[in-house]
Amino acid sequence: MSGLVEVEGLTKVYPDGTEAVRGIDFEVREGEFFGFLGPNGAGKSTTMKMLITLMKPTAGRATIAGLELGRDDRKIREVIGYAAQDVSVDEDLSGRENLILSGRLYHLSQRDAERRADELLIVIGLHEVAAKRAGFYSGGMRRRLDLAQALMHRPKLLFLDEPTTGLDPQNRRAMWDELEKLNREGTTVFLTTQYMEEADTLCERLAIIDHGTIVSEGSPSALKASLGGEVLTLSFTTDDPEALQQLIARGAEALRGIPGLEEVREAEREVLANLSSHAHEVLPAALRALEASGVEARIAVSPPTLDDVFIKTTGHALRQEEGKPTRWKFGARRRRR
Amino acid sequence: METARVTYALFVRSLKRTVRRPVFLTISLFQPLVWLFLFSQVMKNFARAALPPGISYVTLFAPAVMLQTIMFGSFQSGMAMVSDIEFGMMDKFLVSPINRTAILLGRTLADGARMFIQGLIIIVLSMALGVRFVHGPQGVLAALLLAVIFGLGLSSLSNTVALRTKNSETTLMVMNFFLFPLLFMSPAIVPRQALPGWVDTIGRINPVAYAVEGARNLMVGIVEHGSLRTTIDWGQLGIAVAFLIGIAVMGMTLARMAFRKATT
Repeated sequence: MSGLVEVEGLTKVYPDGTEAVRGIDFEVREGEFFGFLGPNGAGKSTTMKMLITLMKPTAGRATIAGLELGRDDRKIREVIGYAAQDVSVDEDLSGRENLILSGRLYHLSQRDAERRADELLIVIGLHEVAAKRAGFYSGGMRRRLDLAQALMHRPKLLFLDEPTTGLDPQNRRAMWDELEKLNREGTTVFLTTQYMEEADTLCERLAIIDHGTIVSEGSPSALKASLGGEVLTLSFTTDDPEALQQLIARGAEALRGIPGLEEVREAEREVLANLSSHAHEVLPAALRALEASGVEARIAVSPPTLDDVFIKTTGHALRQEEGKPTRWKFGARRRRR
Repeated sequence: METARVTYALFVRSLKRTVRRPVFLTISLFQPLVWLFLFSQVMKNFARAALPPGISYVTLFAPAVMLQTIMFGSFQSGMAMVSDIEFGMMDKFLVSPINRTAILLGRTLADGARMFIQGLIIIVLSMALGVRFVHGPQGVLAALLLAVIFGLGLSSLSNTVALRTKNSETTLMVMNFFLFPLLFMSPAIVPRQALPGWVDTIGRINPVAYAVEGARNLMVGIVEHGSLRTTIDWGQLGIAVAFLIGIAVMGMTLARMAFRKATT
């Protein structure tokens, strides 16, 4: 057993027949930052809800820290922390009281809970408003408080369901820093996200999930590399349309026939070509050819993005449509503000 | 031991929630005032014929107001349950390693404490209005406990509805649907002697009737043969206590079953 989380054939079929998760296998290794990337309704949250013991799987098995899901649920709950997609803080309690309550739920003594709460309030920058009721907090403050609640008992493994959905870019950036720091300090993080950039920035390894199935898995760079084709772009500095046309035609002409370059095509302002082998093998020949034909151009070779990976593996772009409203026991809730 | 600590933490949390909502506090103070002053003024002429000589309507009405306040405050428990489910607090409790019994237990204890305080407020208001309690503080305390037991039965039922429907409007409506008829078919507002015979017959299975008469029995005395009986009617009290404890046990059992069903 090497994985902190090991999942085999995990399946969830809702009573209405919706197959939310269709027999997935994956593992999360100790200490890693693992992510589920997929659109709304792909089965990310459902998978997470099963792993955190909130929902019973229809089939399949999973272990968390060697503990068997369905048999050792109570012990599993002790080692994990969870922050839901929709922030849940008690608005009638102060930030500090919210934290202390969470600590008590994990059997911390009142004194330990208070001490840990004060420590975390500083970390999340809420120490100055600690005595204020959480009902008065802004969205970003609530998120941070919610995250801190999940950290009160120093969980080994942190489950985060779309931790930055609904945050503005600045707060998102700050949350990322916070999560990276936690991971560096040893917490294994498993997050779901529908943002490419988030998965790319944070995750060491990720699984792309769509319609309840894992369609590909690996590190962001490996996933992108699996697409093979990097793209070579020639761009030109001239503003004169006639000169530009000429340069595009001559540049394209120069690139054609170079081994490792395919589908050389003339675009509106650029010349594009797909790389079928490594850039360091192709580029010298391309440069020589351009020099020989006297074309002055900027050359860029760019890797494919996760967007490209997503389109390639799922056959569609990462859509941001609304998920089908599924009613389940807990967790299907309204957003407060 | 762990469970006791967690229960206590959840109990305190539920109480804080109640106390910190100014609207709730204001209403739970003013509603009984409205009942006691306004309602007793409106109703006393209707009820006069059935009242024993020398006994004011407000005297008979005070135990009923205490009970009503507790009864109609019991829905709050179910509504708070719905809000905990909707806003994810329940998920938070469920992913923590606590004994889940503590979740319902903490809430029930907080309900009981809240009801006790609500009842106490009305007792003080009634005293200010000149109501005499014939069996002293022990009688009043016993009546209050009886009302709280009944109230806990009702709050458990409201939790049952809440857990099954996960909707606060439905919870409120279902509870009102049952409680209003039961209230009006009990001798709470209109003295028993003035109720139609068939309603009085239904009273034999109406928990509100038992609760009201039980509370009167312990606080101000019950009307018997056209006069106020000022010694405790132990027979009535015994049946009332048994009946109301039965309701409370049934309510709590149903709530536990609903909770288990909703969380597994």
